[in-house]
Amino acid sequence: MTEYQLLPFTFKKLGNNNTLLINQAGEFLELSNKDFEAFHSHILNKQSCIYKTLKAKQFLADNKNNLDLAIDMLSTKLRTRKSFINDFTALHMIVVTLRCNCQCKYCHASSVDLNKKKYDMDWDTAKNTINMIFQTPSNFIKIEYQGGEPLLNWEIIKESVLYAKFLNKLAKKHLEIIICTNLTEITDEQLHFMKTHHIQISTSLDGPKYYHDKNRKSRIMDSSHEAFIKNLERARNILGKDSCSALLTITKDNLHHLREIIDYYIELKFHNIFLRALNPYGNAVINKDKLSYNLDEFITEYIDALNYIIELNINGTNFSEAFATLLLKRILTPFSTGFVDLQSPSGAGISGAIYNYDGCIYPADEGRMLAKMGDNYFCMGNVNTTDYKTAFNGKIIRDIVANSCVEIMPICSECAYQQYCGSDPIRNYLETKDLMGDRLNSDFCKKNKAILNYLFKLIIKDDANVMDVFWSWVTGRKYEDVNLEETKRAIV
Amino acid sequence: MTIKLFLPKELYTKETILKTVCLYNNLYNFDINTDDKSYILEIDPSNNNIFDEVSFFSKLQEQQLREILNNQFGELRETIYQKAFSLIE
Repeated sequence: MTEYQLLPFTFKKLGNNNTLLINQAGEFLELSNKDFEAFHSHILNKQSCIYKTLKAKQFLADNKNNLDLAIDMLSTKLRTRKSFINDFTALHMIVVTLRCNCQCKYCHASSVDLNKKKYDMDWDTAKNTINMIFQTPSNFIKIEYQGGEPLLNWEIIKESVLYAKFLNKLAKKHLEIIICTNLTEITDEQLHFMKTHHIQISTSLDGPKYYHDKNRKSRIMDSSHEAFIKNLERARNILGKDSCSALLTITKDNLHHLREIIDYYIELKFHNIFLRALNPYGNAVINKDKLSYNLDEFITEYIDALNYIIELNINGTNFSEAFATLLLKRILTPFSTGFVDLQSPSGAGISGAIYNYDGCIYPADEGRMLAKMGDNYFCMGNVNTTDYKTAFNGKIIRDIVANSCVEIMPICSECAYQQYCGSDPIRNYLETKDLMGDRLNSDFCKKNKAILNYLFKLIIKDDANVMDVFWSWVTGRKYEDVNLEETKRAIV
Repeated sequence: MTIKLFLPKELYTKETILKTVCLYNNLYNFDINTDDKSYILEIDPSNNNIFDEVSFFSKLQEQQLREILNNQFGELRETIYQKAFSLIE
């Protein structure tokens, strides 16, 4: 028996007589079942490569000094991975109106008719919202204007942007402003204002005309797609070619056409796509029969699309998939990746918050949706009546944090992927009335596990071209640059 | 048909059995009893499910290994978390 101390890790039996080990710092290693058994039975040969790799990656320590060092190393890496908690709270979404010129079949935002101006945010509420946002301790503030169609309440956007910039002269924070718009009615005046104030655009595109118009119906014109295309070009001409990013919503209509949609995104000169499954909120629930699909179908299509994107990159087209990129960053690097929907503790409230048109504050958009459905559980207060500490240090945030650390949640705490995963307590609450939810049967868990399984399959296979594509996504560089560097290194 | 399994206490802890049973809650109905030497598990597959003994024992052994490993890790996990989240002067 060899003298060594095992350091904490989780494991997963793979189907190929191998076991995947992942430690608290997110370091991973694949061992044959035989080596794994030798490792945990303390009979690994100290001179073996496996022993040295396990030691180097802090899966074992063989003397007191080494143990102390390993604990230091693991805690530092863990601290780095969790450093998103330091940016409390960076993302602030302001719903300036519920009015919308579109009525999307899957709308999560419960939009209302164009004439219902009572659903617009007023100036006092907007000012109080900006005041509250600037009380965040985070040095980074990202303000995202949402709706409805936020541009329909343009005066409030304009005034609140100017007010935020004014406050920031003293606060000196890194301030980023984004407007989420369907682009259908954007004006030159608005675009020039955005250019002056370095405002980016986040928009939605469900694919070519047929798929886009099918679910993103306009209230005022025949085709929202035609207006989108025309205005996308205008926006890029004024704001710059990389000023607009787009989000795809996958429904039954476009699920089986992802390759065509990816080609279309590339044709429109987008550099990435987020293959997002439909979430169970708002109209997506009402129109479930027409829009939704089962999870297995989604996973099959996701993997096919991911393979297609990898192939495109290898053949010279730089294009990434956002969800895979996020997971790969967590797997391949020690850095912190804040992503509100997949954090432990959950990013709801501590990484992002949403301010409704009436001033009510919610930890996430889904909390607002629940309120609309009659359950106001997640309301953290109102910018017009609640102070910052009461809202952001109150029961709701504490409940969310206490119930969304995967490291201590039953079932999740033993999952090998816990370092790369997270929790969505608001969705859990919506589905089960419990913040921790039913982990065993949750689609959220099944989807993340299936995608992580596939990414690990590719990582373990270690095909040089595929890994270069992954590294190009993780580092934000071009595939050919990563590939060239590999070649140079091989020659040296 | 109800299946009866005798799981020796010297091989499996109660926690291991409960955690494994939890994974199959949707497929089977379980009744757990005990005598001096064993935990006695009565399994009643619901909705015409067939009890997959190989899969069940494989998960049971994996779970037992987790318990053994957690005992070996001792307080290390907590120590690492404590250090990671401690204040830096």
